[in-house]
Amino acid sequence: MPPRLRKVALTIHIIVSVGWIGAVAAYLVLDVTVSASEDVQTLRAAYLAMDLVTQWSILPLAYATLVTSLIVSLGTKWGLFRHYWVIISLVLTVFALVILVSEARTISSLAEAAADPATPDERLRSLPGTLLHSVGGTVVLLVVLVLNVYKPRGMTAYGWRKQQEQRTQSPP
Amino acid sequence: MAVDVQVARPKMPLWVKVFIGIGIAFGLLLIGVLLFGGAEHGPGRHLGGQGDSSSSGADTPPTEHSGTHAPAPNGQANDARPGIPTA
Repeated sequence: MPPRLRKVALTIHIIVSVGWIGAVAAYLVLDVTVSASEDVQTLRAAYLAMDLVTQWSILPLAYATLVTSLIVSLGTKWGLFRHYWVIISLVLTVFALVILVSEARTISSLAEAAADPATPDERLRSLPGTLLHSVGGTVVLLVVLVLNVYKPRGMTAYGWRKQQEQRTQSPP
Repeated sequence: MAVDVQVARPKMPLWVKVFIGIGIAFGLLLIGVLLFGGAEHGPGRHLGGQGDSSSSGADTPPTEHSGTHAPAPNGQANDARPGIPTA
């Protein structure tokens, strides 16, 4: 990938991936609110906001992060399977995305119940949050962030083979 | 003068082994929860009849995570919620 295009791809990747973490932080505030609040108006508003943040911010940013991470890794010297930190980051990102897609359905159902004026107040108060998943998701995203910043040493067998091939092919 | 250096294949770093260990432990924990936790883990656990709001099941409140929420203001336990259809 040409250097200029690589920089553009990396910039977009940083924007969407950090944006994903920021959107999850906003979601966490709402999730804590529905877990702690007893006020019906607050609960209704929070469940609806959780759904909106998930559908229009977290999910698109998560998909964009996965796509841009593939572009950046395949378009640079790091590759996709050459370094352990890249593979682990990819696995964790895919795992987080799968759980997120699954949770998004739950969140939509909760928002539907909250939006329904016929939902009794007591039932609204007994609706669950998704705190375990959102805290777990945040931890996973922060681990990926740390891996991407520190890029710990460790080359895979495939990466080592490729490196040897390049060394033998390159002129002395 | 050309020097032919044989580079040994690198071993898997310790931090990767730690990550793999944590991953395996987490996977086993998840399997344990799925097998022995009543198989209620998943999106459907929050709302019965999800996706079909016309069904009576859609009004079934969640049965899990209740412990993480404050009790009802009138002092009732969360399991004794109004509106729960009892058989």
